[in-house]
Amino acid sequence: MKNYIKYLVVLLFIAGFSSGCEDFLTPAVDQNKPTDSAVQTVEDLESVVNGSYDDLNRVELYGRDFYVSAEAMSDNAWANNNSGRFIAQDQFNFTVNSGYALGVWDVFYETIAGANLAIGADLESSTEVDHLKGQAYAIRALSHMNLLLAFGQQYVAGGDPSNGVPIKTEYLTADEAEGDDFIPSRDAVADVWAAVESDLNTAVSMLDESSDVATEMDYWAARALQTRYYLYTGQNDAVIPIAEDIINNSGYSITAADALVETWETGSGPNSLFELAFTSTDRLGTDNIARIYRPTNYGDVQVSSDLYNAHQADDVRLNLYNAAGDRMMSKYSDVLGTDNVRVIRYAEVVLNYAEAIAAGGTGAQETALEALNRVADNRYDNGSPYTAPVSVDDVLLERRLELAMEGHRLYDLLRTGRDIEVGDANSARTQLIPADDYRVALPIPDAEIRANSNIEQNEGYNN
Amino acid sequence: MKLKVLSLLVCAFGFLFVSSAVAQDVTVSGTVVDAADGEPLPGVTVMLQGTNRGTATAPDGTYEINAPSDGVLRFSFVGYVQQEIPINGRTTIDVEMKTDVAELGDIVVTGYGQYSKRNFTGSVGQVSSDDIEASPVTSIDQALEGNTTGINISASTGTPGAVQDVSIRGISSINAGTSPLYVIDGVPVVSGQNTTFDDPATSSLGVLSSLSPSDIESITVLKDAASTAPYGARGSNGVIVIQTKSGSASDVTYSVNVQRGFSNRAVDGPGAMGVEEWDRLFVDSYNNFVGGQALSYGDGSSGWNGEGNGTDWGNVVTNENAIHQEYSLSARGGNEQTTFYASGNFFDQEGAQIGTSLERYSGKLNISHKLDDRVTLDNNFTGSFVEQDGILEGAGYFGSPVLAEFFMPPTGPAFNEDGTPNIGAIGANIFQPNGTNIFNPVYVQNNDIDRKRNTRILNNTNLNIQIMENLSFNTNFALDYIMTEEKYYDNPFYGDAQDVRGLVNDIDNRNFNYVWRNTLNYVFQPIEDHTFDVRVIAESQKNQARYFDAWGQGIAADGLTNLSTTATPQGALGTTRDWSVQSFTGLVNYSFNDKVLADVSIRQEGNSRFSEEKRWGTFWSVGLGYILTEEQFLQDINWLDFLKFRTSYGLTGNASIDLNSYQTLVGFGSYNDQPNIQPTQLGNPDLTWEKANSLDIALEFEVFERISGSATFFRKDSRDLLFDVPLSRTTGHNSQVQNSGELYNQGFEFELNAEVINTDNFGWNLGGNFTIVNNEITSLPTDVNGDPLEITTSTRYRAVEGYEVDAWYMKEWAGVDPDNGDPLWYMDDGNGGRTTTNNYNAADEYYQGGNAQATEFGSINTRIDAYGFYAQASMSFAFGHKLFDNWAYYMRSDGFGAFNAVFGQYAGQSDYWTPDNTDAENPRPVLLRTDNSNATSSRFLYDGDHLRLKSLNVGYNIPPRLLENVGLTSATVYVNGRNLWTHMFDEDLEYDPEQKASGFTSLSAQPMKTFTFGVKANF
Repeated sequence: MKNYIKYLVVLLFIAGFSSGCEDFLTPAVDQNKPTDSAVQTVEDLESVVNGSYDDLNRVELYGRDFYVSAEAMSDNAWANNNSGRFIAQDQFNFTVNSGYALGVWDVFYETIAGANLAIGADLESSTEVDHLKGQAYAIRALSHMNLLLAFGQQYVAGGDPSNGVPIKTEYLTADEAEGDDFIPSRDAVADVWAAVESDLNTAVSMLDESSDVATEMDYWAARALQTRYYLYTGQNDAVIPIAEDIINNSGYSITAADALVETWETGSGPNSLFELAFTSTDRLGTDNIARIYRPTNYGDVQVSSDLYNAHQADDVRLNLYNAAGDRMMSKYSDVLGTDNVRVIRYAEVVLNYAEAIAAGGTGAQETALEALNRVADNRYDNGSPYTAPVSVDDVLLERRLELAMEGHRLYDLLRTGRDIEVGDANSARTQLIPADDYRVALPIPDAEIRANSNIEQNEGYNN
Repeated sequence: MKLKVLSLLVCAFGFLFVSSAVAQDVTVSGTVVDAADGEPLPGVTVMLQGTNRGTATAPDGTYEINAPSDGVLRFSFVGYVQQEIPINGRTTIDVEMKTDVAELGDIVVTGYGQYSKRNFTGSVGQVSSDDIEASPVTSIDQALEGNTTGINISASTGTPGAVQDVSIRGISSINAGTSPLYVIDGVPVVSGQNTTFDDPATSSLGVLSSLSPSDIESITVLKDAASTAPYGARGSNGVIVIQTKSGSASDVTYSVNVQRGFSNRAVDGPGAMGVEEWDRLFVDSYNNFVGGQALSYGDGSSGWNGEGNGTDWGNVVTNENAIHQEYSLSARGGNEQTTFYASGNFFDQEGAQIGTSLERYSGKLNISHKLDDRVTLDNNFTGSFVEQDGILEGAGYFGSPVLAEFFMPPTGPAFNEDGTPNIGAIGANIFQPNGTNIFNPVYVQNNDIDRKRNTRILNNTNLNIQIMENLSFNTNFALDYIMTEEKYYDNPFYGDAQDVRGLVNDIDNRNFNYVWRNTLNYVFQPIEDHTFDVRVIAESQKNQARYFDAWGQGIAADGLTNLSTTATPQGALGTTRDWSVQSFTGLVNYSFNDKVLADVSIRQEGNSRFSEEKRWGTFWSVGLGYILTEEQFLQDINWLDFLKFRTSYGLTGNASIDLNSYQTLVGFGSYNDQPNIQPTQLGNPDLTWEKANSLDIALEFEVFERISGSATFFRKDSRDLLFDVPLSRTTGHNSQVQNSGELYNQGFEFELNAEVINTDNFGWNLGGNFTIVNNEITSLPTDVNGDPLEITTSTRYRAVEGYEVDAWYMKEWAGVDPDNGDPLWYMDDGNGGRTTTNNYNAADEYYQGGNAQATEFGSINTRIDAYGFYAQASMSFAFGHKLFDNWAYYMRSDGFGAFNAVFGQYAGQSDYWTPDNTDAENPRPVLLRTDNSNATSSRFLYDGDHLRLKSLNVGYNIPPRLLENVGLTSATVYVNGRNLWTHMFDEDLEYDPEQKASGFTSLSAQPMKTFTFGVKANF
């Protein structure tokens, strides 16, 4: 009988244990939080905005590829095939499976998703909240604008002007999406530009003018982005008053000649309106710009002889290059990748201003020469080489030199209808690319086409 | 709720047996004889069941015992089948004891019970310890290859200890897991790799390598719905049941096995071009580029001045005759009350690639103890430690010896004059004045660390209570603890971390898995000849994983390999995750007269991977068997010994998707050292079980008492596939897991085994197995416009209706234009036919007829025994699959990207088009060509069809009379060979035909051929 009691105790123990585990099948969620309750405080909102900045930081975008490709796909740079990177961009050899095109498409839309999550946050308006949401609007504008520049059909001969890129203004969960929400068709080029303008206006109205942080898309950065937008869309008259506002009121200035190399190599200096932050613990490992520009074991993207030779002998910017003149050394010098990536610089605003005037914009306080010399006076040992009247070509030349290897050149050529010349005899590309060639727009990634039957492919990539 | 019902049930049974009662004593006597020859058996234990009362038979085989008239007597003797005989008021009971011939072939070990194979309606494959011991394998699943039908195995790499990709009866899902469940001693365990990320950068280490093959008694593969039903979703891709050795009630016997051998690559591979040919290609491609005779052979511009043989990097990175050795010692024995099996094992294997090796130390103790007549307590314990020295492999890592073999320019040199590795400029030429970017693999392997260590404890405690004669209760608690420590150290001077002055990365992955199972088993015969075996099983499993990862840079001096000695901490990561499964299963096994058989199962399963509303699924199976030879009308056919028809049908579920997939989530990271939030997962609250209906129909037979075999048809229709449906990226997400799409796998399995000759001194056995399996996607999800969401990559139809999963799909190579050496591809001519083009972008893509999975495979086995000698051979074969060389882009570049000027090339690249060699394999080489001759096309796709001598074993069993003097009871000396010979049917295929399941060659270490010499002895 003693034994029986022993068994009974065992059985009762098991029975009791079995029935006491109601939550057994509820999984732990230790690294994530449910989206619908993720943004409840101003701190959460700030984190969401940081999330969008972090998307811009990725290697596909400003971390390297999108930024460097605008140079490799121009007469400024060429790819030496050291590790096979950027060779497709140099040659304009894109298929619908292009990893570069997919990365740009994918990550800018992820950036927009984050910005939309911030914009849609259900928080009462306050200076802090508005300032954060204003940044999100400006990030969304920058992202839509870049997507349009990369994929839109605005420059392509025979391109359909209704083929811009989809405009996304809301972050939707699976429960919230209806109908075609998850398979949008392309919005027209003009509509995308209008959305960019509207977002920038909203951003400027919401951002706190007193907040000035280089690593945030703050008030003056958004204003500067407005000048880029108006210049790119040919609205020169609109560029001028905003540029003058920035020049007169922002407190930014052109980097002095003697501080140029040092500013690039060690810090952001007085000329950086918006830059993306990289730190020793938050960076991209070997996939950074410095390792592509400098002679490392990547080192694929070299400066073209055309760019280097465009500098006059007394140009202090020659110090940014190596002695042989085929490498950009000082713009992005840390091969560990802790240099902040400059997205909008004061010099660009000044050059936008000068170009708008030179292109016939009215109402300016300065002449195009005066505006251009704000930069040129600080760049040539023997003084500015420019004389009145300054042409758009003059401004574009100075722009090419000042913003060299900063991700501008391709779009400066395209928006002004200039063909893309071969910049270096070593380039694997031997033919010029006409400014309206179908290849100046990337193919819509095959992954998108297959997932979204409403999306039309770009001209020239019909397969 | 369900649990409460069960627990009440358990308690009810408990009371039932407490109240079972006692009766009057009688004296029972009788004689025990051997059933075979009728000779009396002395020393047979006769016990009254449920008591400690017992006796043993006298030398004349007689016994006498006092027992209650309704009691049960148990007769047991080593080597004979135990019998339990109810007294039923009798006073004389004579017993015939049958020799215990219940060898593996007769019993099916399913993990939740042992069944007579004869009466089992499910579909299983079995491998015995003999088959396992015949091959020195690091991971026991390798032993399955070719030994049973329906199972396809490929190593992720040839590095010792690497994970094996195993698929049973095809691939039944697109995105959900397709790996089988592993069960050890009845308990589901962790398999695959215990790392948090499927890190492709370094060699994988499978957790199964922690088991010593010498501890394995048998492996059973469960394939159909009826046999896998008790394992539910985890078993939906098949179950591999591993039974370890257990003790025996006999004097202690010791076994020792010592083996030693060496390995080399099984297939040489494509090899790299010699320096002279490489120089010629360099010069020709350059001259073709500039259009003149700018360079000449051996003029030094390639880095070779016409003198010397350069460097054969294949030689440099090969560890020729890599040594392996194994020592194992085991003891088994016990008495009526307690039995045990204990073993210790040491295994050490070098890989055929420099810098690769594996060491294993393991110990095992299985104990079974009878507390009394009703209660048995078992505990199986295994502790092991495995250390793998791996390499960077699987992609283009500059520090990888696999890459170096082909990528290093043959101009070298690999070593300095003093014999130290050259870390100066290697392969300098006019294109790379400072030499190659690839690191000298010798220096890297000598100085860097890529190491994984697995510490594993597997413990399984089982309590069995015989409540009544035909009712038992079993509770089993098993835990599986695995600690995987990864260590990566890049030296500060040379290699991947030279720019950052060295790097240390330590990763700990801890996995704790427990399973608790309670089973009630009731056997009854309500009517004569109708036997029911009913089991009710309640099971809970939880898996908890913790991951910790930290790395730092900046190392002061050589040999400082820990994080604390790095100057700058770079990052720290840590996560915790879990999953759990709970289930209630009912199994009924019915037999009528041992002639008509039926198995029925029903199972309720809950899985933490689905939302609360969708969490529980109900699955079922039915199996039927009919032993035709039990019927009168077949008993007249003398030559027909056994004929059985069986079939099963059932519904199974699959839940192997990423954790937390159903939830809509944000993730956390940092920007500018501040916290950030990003939407990371779209989620799908409707997510639920992937389901499959499986049908199995088979005929089993034996004729002339010599030839036995089976033929099986199977079909598995999977639906509501857990499918990573690609999303428009404008959503901010790449994909969403949905239940959508349908596919099927169907095929045949055949097995045949013949004892051709069987005499006292000579035996010849011949057997074979053959599997045919076909796979097709029949339906895919659609978007709201009704368009199917196909997934196509640059090489495949990942998922397209009407094709296999991952069917090869790419531009089709049409060879080299003999007129001008241009590359040619096929394109549609617009009239329904095909023409060729030298424009890659104009070429069309075509389905290439299959995927990377063999559609016909199997093996032919034979064994000859003669006068103590034996020879065993197994030839495996596989057909119908294709392999893609995804690094030929670089290694067969034809000049593209100047790859042939900065990297080595495959040896076959020396056959290129020139005006004098118009019938060439490769196009006219042009440096920096832009026509994409080396881009993805069927040029680099090969048939994987092959024959392989999987094993060839020869041994001699030393006659016992020679051993008596040295105190041994048996001893065998043997030589085993594995992968000794391989024949590929595609003449162009140079890589080993056995590649990872994906079918990509991927710059991984290649399979090895192995010789092993060993001695096995018992005493």
